[in-house]
Amino acid sequence: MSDLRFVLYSLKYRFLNSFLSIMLTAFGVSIALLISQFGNHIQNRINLDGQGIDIVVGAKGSPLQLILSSVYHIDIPTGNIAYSQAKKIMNNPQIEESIPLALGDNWRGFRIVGTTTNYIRHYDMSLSTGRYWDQNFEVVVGSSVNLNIGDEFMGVHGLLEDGSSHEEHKYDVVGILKPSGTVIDRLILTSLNSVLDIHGLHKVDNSFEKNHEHQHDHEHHKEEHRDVHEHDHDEEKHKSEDENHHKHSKNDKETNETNVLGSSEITALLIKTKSPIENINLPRSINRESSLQAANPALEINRLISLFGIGSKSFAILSLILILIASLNIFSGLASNLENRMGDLAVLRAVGFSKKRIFKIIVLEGILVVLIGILLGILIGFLLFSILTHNIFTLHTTNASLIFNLDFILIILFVFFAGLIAAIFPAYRGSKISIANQLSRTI
Amino acid sequence: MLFKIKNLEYKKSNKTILNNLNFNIEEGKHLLVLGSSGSGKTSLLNLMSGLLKPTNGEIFFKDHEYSSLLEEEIDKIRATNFGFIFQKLHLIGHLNVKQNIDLIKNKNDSKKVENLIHGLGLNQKSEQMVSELSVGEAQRVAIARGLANSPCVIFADEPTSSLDDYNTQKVMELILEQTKQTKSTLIVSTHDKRIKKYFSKITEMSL
Repeated sequence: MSDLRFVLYSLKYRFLNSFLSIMLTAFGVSIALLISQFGNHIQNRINLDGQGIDIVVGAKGSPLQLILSSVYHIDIPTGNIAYSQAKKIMNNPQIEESIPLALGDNWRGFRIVGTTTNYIRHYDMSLSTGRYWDQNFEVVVGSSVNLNIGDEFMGVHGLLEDGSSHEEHKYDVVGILKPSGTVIDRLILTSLNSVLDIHGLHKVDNSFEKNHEHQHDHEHHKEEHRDVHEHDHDEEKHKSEDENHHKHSKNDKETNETNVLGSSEITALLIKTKSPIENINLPRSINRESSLQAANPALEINRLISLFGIGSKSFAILSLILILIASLNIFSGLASNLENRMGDLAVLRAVGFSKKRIFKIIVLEGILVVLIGILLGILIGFLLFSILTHNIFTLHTTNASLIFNLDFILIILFVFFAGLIAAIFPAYRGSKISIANQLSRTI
Repeated sequence: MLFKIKNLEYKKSNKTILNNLNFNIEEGKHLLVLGSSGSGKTSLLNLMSGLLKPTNGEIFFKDHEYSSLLEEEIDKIRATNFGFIFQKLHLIGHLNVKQNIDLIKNKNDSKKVENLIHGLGLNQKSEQMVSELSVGEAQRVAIARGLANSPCVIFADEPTSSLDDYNTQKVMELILEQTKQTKSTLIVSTHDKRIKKYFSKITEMSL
């Protein structure tokens, strides 16, 4: 009989003990993996979502809140800012790119973001199907939003699902973006004026957007080999927007004659500067000279990560404790079992099993437990990771998968060696037994 | 000469258990070590099988003197030449009948286990866990295990001490039948004088 089969029979015979050791190891591994994988996942999300955004300008308040609400879309905004003020900043020669964002509504928890197509271009996104918006109230949706081309829906006021509906306007889905693993996957994007209009604010001059849109459409159309007359298209768009504007103005007058449109406001401005020094100078001057707030995402996220660190360290310690408990359980299982098996080991030694072979058998038993525990732990970790990333909304993005990085290998090695060390002492003791004494104890 | 024992002395906790013991055993001959409890007969078996080291003297097995051999070499001698039948049987609890016997067999002798199971009437029990066997069945498994590696020497420690006359006769006949088939040497230590009749060479030990 091979030593492996002998060990397998032994593990099977004391099933409950083996099972407990395996499960403890598996839980230790899965929690350690989850912590490591979520750490990677969050870091990737932070990097991807914040890519190329050097400064965020918004209303006064918590800078972290401003960053979280405008860049990562996981907090409520600090308030709105006058578009006229934002426009001044946008014209600053030190700014390479600026993207205005108007928030305030959602559909089933997916935020409706009024912006320009520069926002899509910034994340290097492309359409999976459909087209970009031409008119107000046309939307392009991220890949995780459960909407199809041609669907119509009403936005709900606020950033929570249970707000009041904007029943006077319906949004029309005209495009769906490809999955990117960024925050865009779970956003509903529309023109800035759609959001301003729905909230009864003056529309903005979006000529800057049109230039980008024109360029973007041109690139896009070239890619798709679509025969579109862009000048005609632009003309039509102007006409259509004018008509639209007329229609809404007319509606507004009809519904409430005393209604006066408020001045244009946006929620935030995402800025990419021309040089790194401006990432420090520009926020300083904006914060000093205006009623706006400018925050640096890199600084704020570092703050957030240091806060996160406390939580993730606690989890890391918890998983370490679990792994140690699993190792102690392997040790205790083998050691207590050894006491009952001294007679068996003495028989094996008597019939010619060498000390090395006895040592190998006991270590093999520990290694098998730890290896099965590791495999099961990886499986449980993978399943939990998949379930959590698909079911917890704020974690949900596409392209979230297990990363087999150095952390992953180190966790596996740590658990393996912890189990191995736990098996070595009983194995050493088992191999050193006095055969004659053990046999005579029971003879 | 199979065994050559010269001036064998064994002390345990400063107490002399064996003193100046000399005898030889030829191949195929059997030896009965007869003595009362504590007379050192089990120690003698353990010394002869290399499980204990003598305090003084020499033990030769097939011209190999134990003290000149490494521990691994003695392990190998036991694995390939010796079979053991223990008084309390010492079957391994987490293995079934076949696995207990299979554990000891030489790798190149795959049919041996089947033959032993058949020869000892354990066909119906081969897949049964040893904890479920009767005493008689367990004893037969222990005998089968002692013979599984086709040993040239079988050491049996008190194989009949707890058995009645009928079963004593049955077990002795069974062991001797197997030794006849394998032409092996049987060395039995016991205080049971009932089995003296099966042996031509008897070493009596006293306290």
